[in-house]
Amino acid sequence: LNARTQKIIALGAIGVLTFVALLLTEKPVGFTRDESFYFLAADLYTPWYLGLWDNFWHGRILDSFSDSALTRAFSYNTEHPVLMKSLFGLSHWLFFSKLAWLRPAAAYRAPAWALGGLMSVLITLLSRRAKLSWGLTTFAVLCFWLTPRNLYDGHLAAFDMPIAVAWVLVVYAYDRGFQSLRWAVLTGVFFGLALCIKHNAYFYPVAFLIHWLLVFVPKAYREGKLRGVLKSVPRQWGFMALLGPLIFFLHWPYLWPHPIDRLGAYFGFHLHHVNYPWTYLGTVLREPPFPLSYVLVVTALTVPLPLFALMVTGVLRATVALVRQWRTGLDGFTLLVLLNGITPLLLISWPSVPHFGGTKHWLPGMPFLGILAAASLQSIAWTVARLLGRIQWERYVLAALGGLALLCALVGTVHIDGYGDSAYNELAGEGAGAAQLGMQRQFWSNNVSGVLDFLNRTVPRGDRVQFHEVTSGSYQAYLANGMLRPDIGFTLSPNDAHFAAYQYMQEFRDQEFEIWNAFGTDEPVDGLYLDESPNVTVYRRPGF
Amino acid sequence: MIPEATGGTAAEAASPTATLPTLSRVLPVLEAAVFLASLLFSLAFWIRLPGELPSDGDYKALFAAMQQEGRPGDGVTVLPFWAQRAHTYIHGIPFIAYPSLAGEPDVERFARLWVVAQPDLPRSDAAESLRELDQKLQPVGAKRRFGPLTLALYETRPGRTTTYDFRDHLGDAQASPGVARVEWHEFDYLPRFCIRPPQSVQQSTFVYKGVPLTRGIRGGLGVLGNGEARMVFSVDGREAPPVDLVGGQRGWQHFEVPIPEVGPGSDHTVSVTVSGRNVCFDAVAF
Repeated sequence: LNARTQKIIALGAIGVLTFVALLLTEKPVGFTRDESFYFLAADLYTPWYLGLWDNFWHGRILDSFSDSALTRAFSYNTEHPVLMKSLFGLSHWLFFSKLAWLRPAAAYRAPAWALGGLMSVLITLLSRRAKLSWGLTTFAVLCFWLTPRNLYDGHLAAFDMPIAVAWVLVVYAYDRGFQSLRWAVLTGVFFGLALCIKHNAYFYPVAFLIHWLLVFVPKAYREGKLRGVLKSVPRQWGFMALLGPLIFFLHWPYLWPHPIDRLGAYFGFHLHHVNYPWTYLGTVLREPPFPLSYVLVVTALTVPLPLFALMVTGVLRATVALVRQWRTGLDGFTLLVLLNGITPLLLISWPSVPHFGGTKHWLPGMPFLGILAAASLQSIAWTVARLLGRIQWERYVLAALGGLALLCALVGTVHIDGYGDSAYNELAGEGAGAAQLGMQRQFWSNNVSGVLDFLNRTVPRGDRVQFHEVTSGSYQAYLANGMLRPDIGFTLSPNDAHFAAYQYMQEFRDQEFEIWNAFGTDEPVDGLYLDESPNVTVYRRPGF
Repeated sequence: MIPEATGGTAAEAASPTATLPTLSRVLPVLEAAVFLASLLFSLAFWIRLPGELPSDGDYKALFAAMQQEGRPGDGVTVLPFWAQRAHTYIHGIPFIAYPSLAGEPDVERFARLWVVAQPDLPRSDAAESLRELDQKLQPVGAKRRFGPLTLALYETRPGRTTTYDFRDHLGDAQASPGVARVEWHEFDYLPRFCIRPPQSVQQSTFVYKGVPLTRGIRGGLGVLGNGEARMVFSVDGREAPPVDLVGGQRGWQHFEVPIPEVGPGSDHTVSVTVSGRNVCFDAVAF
């Protein structure tokens, strides 16, 4: 095998291993509110694709593109593009309906895991471009996946991991696009795909702008004034500007009959996105301005502490190195990694940007921060070996320190089990410390999976349960996946229920007390307690 | 990225000038120190955590002890206030859970208060809260341990014992107008089990007869939503100082009013007049 083949096999193995790891660990992760909407969207979109295939072979392909056909298929959940939802649906059709290889939820989620595999591949490629050893490259990959909230997002049939992967792909292509026209074109293609996943992609190119301003503009201005500056604009930008919107528009047939109206509605939704309440250090944040420190503090309290420390030292180390290079010319790649590591965090830090959803909105920065963390780890190993007077021990020190850091992260990941949206780190004091600090304990309703076994054992046949904050779609998914007894009914009101599963969220405390009033008791009968703090509490009406 | 990241060379390390505290030599040491400190902290955290979390057996043993020694009129609380898993094991005893527990009138509501504390939990404020309770209440016996759980028992101090619970005796009161209810309501994200006069009225009066009183009346008052409220107690026709809730302040306000000059006794008539819409209140005599 030549080196190229070996490399391809190694990258393939990394991707497959990641996919399998996600497959094997997804089951405890309950269904988020948004997943239930995407499951339904996937089910609505899939018949259109099957019909398209059928129409194609019967010479009536245009039938699929009539306004009525497109509206019928795609008018649900128009606030997000259709790429991922279409993949979820086709995967479900293939791997569950046709082949029955996976349970329904896993079949929806599988495309996200495939992209998770691609994330590992991309972190590997970028780490190798950063001249990290294979050991440090592995560390960078594990640094990403052993951050429990990243792993949690990796399991879901949602858009947060896919958009993170797409953005890392854009950055990788962008970097290679300076030397290769093919990669410059691919940058535009990947940017288009990113736009097809989630609107976040519109904001991340600001990192490229800063990169250009710092790396290319000073030299170009010295050499050619304004004309030189204009000529220094990376060609990738042109392909991004041209191919990005084109691919976005083409991938979403629903836009075609009424592009102005439907695009307007799409952008309008996100320009006026509601602020969901969010508990932060004992305060329920409801309206902007939000605290400037929010993103940094939440990251510091959720990423496993040794990894977070390495990310901080990695960012500072890279910054110091770049400052030192200011006169001689910046290392463009280091700056690219640094900018893409911090830009997603800075964007969400803006006080008027809605703050909710845990850490998922700055997930695209985490792979880059992991690479900087790995570089810092190498430096630390060298320093420690030097201080020990045993420079030849560097590799052993590196393995020991890296191994212990990852061990802490692994223990934290196992400890939180499938409830990754509730994960806090050692600095926070895990679930207990986070409760004491007054942090949001959960947000997407999926942790109800932790009390389903109790309900299956306890609820009388045919009785109804108030599944607080759980959508009817998620409830249907629990039934369809055999996680909930089929005779257990769903209701939104405690007045109609004999059991209630209340999800602890500060902004909904009044709804817990409504259950107490309706049931005539405040005594829980079971619950999901993470490090003693209530996450989901089950109440039973006395006498039932 | 990497050559810069290594922070120097082996030759530099071996140099006689390597001990000079230049920035380029201090920064790598700082970098290593930050990481090593975080690593040691994390390792210690994960080693200690399992011993800080109680097992089912710990809770069951604790509740067995409470059942054996429990009396009617006891109440129970937890520290820290959010650590409410205990409530799934402890049944049949009124349960309260509030931050700043020692400042809550409810800690003196019960003849005896059991406290299930977890001082070893990460960031727990239980030890400090127990010290505050030691001052506020009268400890009974020594604190006991059930694994990481601490069980403490307190009595109210002399002169602070609840003599009459207006909430429990709502059915005995002459309410005017309409019928009030006792309900759970949320104030500042905390539960308050309180008397809710009819929403439609601006003023309600509750007359309780045969009320034993020694020193005063204490409790809490809140408005659901925004608004002002006033509560006036009169004992045997003599008014106590009013309790006012300022408009615009959403929340629950504690109060404690001395009884007017009527002297202690067990057969007083207490009239409670509550003004304001969407009001909820709770009161005990002591």
